[in-house]
This record gives sequence, structure tokens and C-alpha cells, in this order.
Amino acid sequence: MDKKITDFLIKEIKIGKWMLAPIDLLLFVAAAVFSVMIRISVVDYTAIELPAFVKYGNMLGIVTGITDLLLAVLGAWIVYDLTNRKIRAFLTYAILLLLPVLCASCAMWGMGDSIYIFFAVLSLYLLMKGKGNASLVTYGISLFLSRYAFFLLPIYAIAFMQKKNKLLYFLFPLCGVWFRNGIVHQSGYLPVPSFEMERLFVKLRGESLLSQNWPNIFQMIGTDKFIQEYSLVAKVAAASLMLLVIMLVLLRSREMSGEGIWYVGLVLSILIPYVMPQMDERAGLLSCVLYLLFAMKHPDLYYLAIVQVIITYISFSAYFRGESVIPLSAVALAELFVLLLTILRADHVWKVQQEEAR
Amino acid sequence: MDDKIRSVLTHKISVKKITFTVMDILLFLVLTGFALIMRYALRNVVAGDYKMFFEPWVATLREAGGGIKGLSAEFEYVDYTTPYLTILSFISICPFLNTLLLMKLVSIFFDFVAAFAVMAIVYDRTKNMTYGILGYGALLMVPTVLTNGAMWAQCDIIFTSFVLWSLYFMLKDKPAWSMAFYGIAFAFKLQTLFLAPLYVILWMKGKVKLKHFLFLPLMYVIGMIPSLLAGKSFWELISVYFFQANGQMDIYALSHKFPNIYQLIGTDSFLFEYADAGIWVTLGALMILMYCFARKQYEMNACLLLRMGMLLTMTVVFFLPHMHERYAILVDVMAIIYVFFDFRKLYIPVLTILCSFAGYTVYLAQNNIIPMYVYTILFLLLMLDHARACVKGMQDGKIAVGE
Repeated sequence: MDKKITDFLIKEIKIGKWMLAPIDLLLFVAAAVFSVMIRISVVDYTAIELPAFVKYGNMLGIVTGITDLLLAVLGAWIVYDLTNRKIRAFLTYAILLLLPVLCASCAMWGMGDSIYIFFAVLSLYLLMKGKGNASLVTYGISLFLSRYAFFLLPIYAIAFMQKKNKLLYFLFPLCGVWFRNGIVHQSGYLPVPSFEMERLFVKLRGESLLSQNWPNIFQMIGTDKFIQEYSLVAKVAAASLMLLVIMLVLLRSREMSGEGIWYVGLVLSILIPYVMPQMDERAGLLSCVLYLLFAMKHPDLYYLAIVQVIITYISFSAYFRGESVIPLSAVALAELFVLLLTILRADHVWKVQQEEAR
Repeated sequence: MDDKIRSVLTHKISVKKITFTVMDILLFLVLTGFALIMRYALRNVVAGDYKMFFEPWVATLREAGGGIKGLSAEFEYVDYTTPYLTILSFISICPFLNTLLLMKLVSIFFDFVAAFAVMAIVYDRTKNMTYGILGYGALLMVPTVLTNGAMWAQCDIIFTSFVLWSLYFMLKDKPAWSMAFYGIAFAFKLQTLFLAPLYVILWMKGKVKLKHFLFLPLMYVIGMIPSLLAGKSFWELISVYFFQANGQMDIYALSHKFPNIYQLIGTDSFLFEYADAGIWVTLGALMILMYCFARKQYEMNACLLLRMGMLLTMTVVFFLPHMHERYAILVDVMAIIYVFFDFRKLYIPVLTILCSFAGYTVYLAQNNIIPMYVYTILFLLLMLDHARACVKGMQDGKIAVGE
């Protein structure tokens, strides 16, 4: 009897053009159910007792539940495309749906970050598939939705130099930033809950500290001294680092491979928030998702992906609780090691690919 | 249109055997602009050292007449040599901008001198101008270099820039030029001697001749000329470094916010005992390293030279008592160059500069967020990594004639 059940569970059957086992479908459904349960458990939390948050918070929590699902499906699709392995694809889907940082950002906090991450990841995927112009359109949407998508900008500059997109399409990211600034920062009002909440959030947090609980360099050198001076210095340093990444990639490869695009995106999503001022708790979300997808291709990197998720959640926790259990300076040091190991690994993969190409 | 832009950006230009692209020029301009913006942002910061030392010194120089005449001034306490005092003396009578900004401008100028040295070294190594410019930009962005001059108004970058040019000429096999620049650096600051063991090793390896070492006293004496003209006595001028070596001003702590051995064992106990013992331990550690590096037969290459330089300087600042936050700046800049020799060692400049910058933060912002002993342990691990790499480098370049 047992054997029959286990055999049934792993026996693949054809559904449409896919060969799937019942256990795959079971995971698919169970992960969705569990993710809903997690979200229901935390959706009542109100981050800030302001009418807009109370009014839109729950609504946005539900809406972003859908985008969380879309992101999980997209992630699974990408992993399948990269590895050609169904099991990893299903695992990606489940992990992304149950990812604590995404649940906390969307359902609990109501910030809706999965929406911009969806478009950012889709943009990278399109670039990987050689659709550079479409990639810029989706990147524009992502930039419109969140300032954190900005970390990925150098990839598109590299892609331009490598003839993967057209200059004209850079208008989309430009418009994304333009409209976003108009809506969020110029105190304009658009009856879209996500923007209204972010506008309030930006207003509330202001630029009073060099880092808003994000474990970056400022947690080690102090978040409350030389704010004006270090803000400008750090922004210029971040721009310089972006330039450095662009030049190093252009110097090292004539053609950026699909995997190369992921790696550059991953490195940038950790590196830039590490030096940028006024980064808040959600600055590491994109890197968590990119890292998880990447770890599915390179399982030996899983520990770094897990550490990145933990670091991000510690940061979230510092916001929710009002203080961090582990000093954020220590977490910042850990983040630095994650960054260094990621860069070194990227360099290693790069060299291996070059040797293989030869 | 797109292709036109790309072809313009990648268009190659050759000037005297050096080939670069339009993109390189743009990169150079943008990085220079960025470096200036960063320094501009820090222009108004006034550090304690300025109020306590520099401002009174400049006032004294001004009262004595400024310029060369100002050097005849009698100071209650000053531990700078004539070359830098001459700069301060001219600043004291400068009719435009204030003293603080002028002092910062001098240091910023030398930031760029140092950056050009890095560019030259990296270009010489890689024969690729883009890497050279990236090295130039990287040095200008190093937090310790940036804050040392533009924020703190210190002048460590002056001697550092000359040391870098000295290293450049050493790597180009021009020992006389190298030692001349090393001599100029020595004329500015005693801390130049942190790297002296490397030159001794290079002498043992036949890269430098004994006569080249004469540049050190020669440059020092040349540097004294303005003060001699102003009427100062020869012995007073020559004793500046003896005064500094005695560390009379720094005896209240074994380490001045620098993450070295004293952060592990305590910076405020056995002040006199450890101060003396620390010097002997430093000399002993250097002796062992120098014996090891000089005795073995191997081919000295650029990479090994830099690693040895870093290890020897780190050994000095790790064991020597009374070290200040700024004293590892030589290691910081050498680490930046080193990463262009071996990108896998990216962690070396990042962690070295992090450790070094920790002291700056404690001084400038009065923030001591991560305990200094954590940085000390990191620093120690980096030293061990350097030692291991030096041994490996020597083994790789071993010459078969005995060991």
C-alpha cells in the first residue's frame, strides 16, 4: 500500500505539454495555501498608525499577495529555464512564496515591494533572453514603483555598450524615475495605495539618519554624525562604484552571458545599498530574491542566500520592534562578508567561463 | 545612431605609445569630478587637531611674518619638519580663502598626486589605461585618503604620495629615482620609515645600492634649507624626528585609536614598560621578517614587493606603541594597488581600509560602535594572510641556488 502511494506520488503524468508528478502539484498547492495562511496571520499588523496606512494597509496586503504569487511563478520559470530542472523550479516557487522577508514586506508591512521586484526580475530575464528593449520597458516600470530598482542601472548601460538594447528605450527608465519623483517626493497625490503609503513613509522617516536600520557601512561608522557631508559623499561613492562595475564588466567580457547578467545584478543589489545613504530596511529585498534564484543554479551558494535573507529580516525586525536584537553594526560586518564572497565568487565564475570559451 | 555613439566611445587614441579610448577620457573626467564633489562636501568640517594644533601654529607663523620669514617663529610645541611648516607658513600669509580650506586644498592636491602615481603603477602593470584610470579613481575614493585631507586637514597623503612615486620607480627598476622620492617623503614625515625595511630587503636583493640610501639624509637636509635661511639652528631642525621618536606627546595611551595589539591587551596600563618593550618587540618582529625575506633566494616581483611592503608596514603599526589612527595610510594605498595585481584579493583593501577607517570614525565622530579589538583581530588575520602569501610568493619564485 505504502509503495503504491509513494509510486503514485512520484510518477510523472502529462499535463498539457508538461510532465509532472502529483507530488509536484501537491507542493504547488500546499505552498500557496501555506503562504496564504502566513499572510493572513500577519495582515492585521499596522506599521504606522496613520489613516492612510490603516485604510490601505490590509488592502495592499491582499493585492500584493497576488504579486507575490506572480513573482514566485516567474522565479520558478527562470530557474527552470536556467537549470532545466523541474524540482528546482518547484522549490523556487515554494521558497519564494514562503520567503519571510517578502511576507513581511507585503502582507505585514503593506509596502508592496514584490511588485517592483517582479518587474526588476522580469527585466533581467528579458535581457538574458536577448530582449534588451523590452527589458528596459519593464525596468522603467520597476523604477517607477521603487527607488531600489535603481541599483540595477549599470546592467543596462553595459547592455547598451554590448549592443543589446537601444538608447531610445532608456526613455522608459527615465520616465519611470520622473513620474515616481513627481508622485512620491513632490507631495503629489495619486489615489494608488502603494504610492500614498510610500509618500507617507518617506515623509515620516525623512532623511534624519544615514541608515534607517539597513546594515550598511553607516551602521559601523555611525548613522547620526556628519549626515549632510556623508550623504553627498556616499551618493557620489555609489555612483563611482556603479561606474567601476560597468568598466570592469566591459573590460572583462565582450559579451555578457545570461549568468553574467544575474551575477552583476546580484553584486549591485548588495553593493550599492551598502554604501548609499538613507537606505531603509527594504533595501536588501531585491538581493534576497536574486540570491535565491541564483542559489538554485549554484546550490553551493545557498548558505550566502540564507545569510542574506536573515540579514534582511534582522533589519525588518529592527523596524518592527524598534530596536535590533543583534547590534546592526555586527550585522553590517556580516553583510560586508556576504558582499565580498559574492564578488569573489562572481570573479571565479567569470574566469571559468572565459576559460571554457577559449 | 546607437552604433555611432558606441564607436565614438570606443574610439582609440594613441599618445606616445599609450592607447586609450574616448570612454577612458570620460571615465577620468567623471571620476575626477566625483572626487572633487566628495571633497567639497567635507570642506566645512573642523577637526579637533585643527583647533588645537594647526590654527595656533599658523597664527604663530603669521605673527613671525609668514613665508620664509615665518619659519623663524618659536613654537611651544611642533612636530612637523621644515617642508610642511614652509607650506603652512605660506598659507598663513595667503590673501584668499581661510587657513582651513587652504590646508585642505594642499592635501587634496596631493591626493591627486598620489592617484596619478597609482594610475602609473597600475598602467605599467596592466598596459591598459582603463585599469589605470580605475586605480586612479579607486585611490581618490578610499575613505581614509578622502577624510585624511579633505575632512581632517591632515597631511599624511603628502609623504604617502612620494612613497607611491618611489614604489613606481622601484617597479620600473629605477632605484635612484625611487630613493630620491623616498627621501622627499622622509623629509616630510617620520612615518615614511615604516616602509624602510622593504628597501633594506630590496638592497639585499640587489635592487637598490647602498649609495642610494644617501638620498634620505640628503633630502632631509635640502628640506631644512628654508628654516636655515630663516635663522633656525641646524641641530634644532635635525632633532625634530628624535623628539617624535621619543613620543613625548603621545605617552598617555599605548594606541591612539589604531586597531593594534594594544587594543587587545589594554592601551592604558604599563604605559612606560610597554612603550619601551613595544619598540623592541617591533624591531624584533621586523628583524625576523627581514631575515626571512632577505635570506631566501627568490625572484622579487612586483606583486611580492607590494605584499612584503604591506606586511612590513602592518607589522610596524601593529606592534609599535603610540600609533595614531592615520598611520596605516601606506597600507591602505598599497592595498588598492595590489587588488589590480590580483583581483581575487579584493578583500584585502576592503578590510584593511575598514580597520584603518575605524580609528578615523572614533576620532572624527566620537563613535565607537564596533569594539576596536574586533578590528584588531581582523587586522591580525590580514597580516597572517599577507605572511602566508609572501611565503607562497617566495616559494613560487624560488631560485634553485640554495636556500
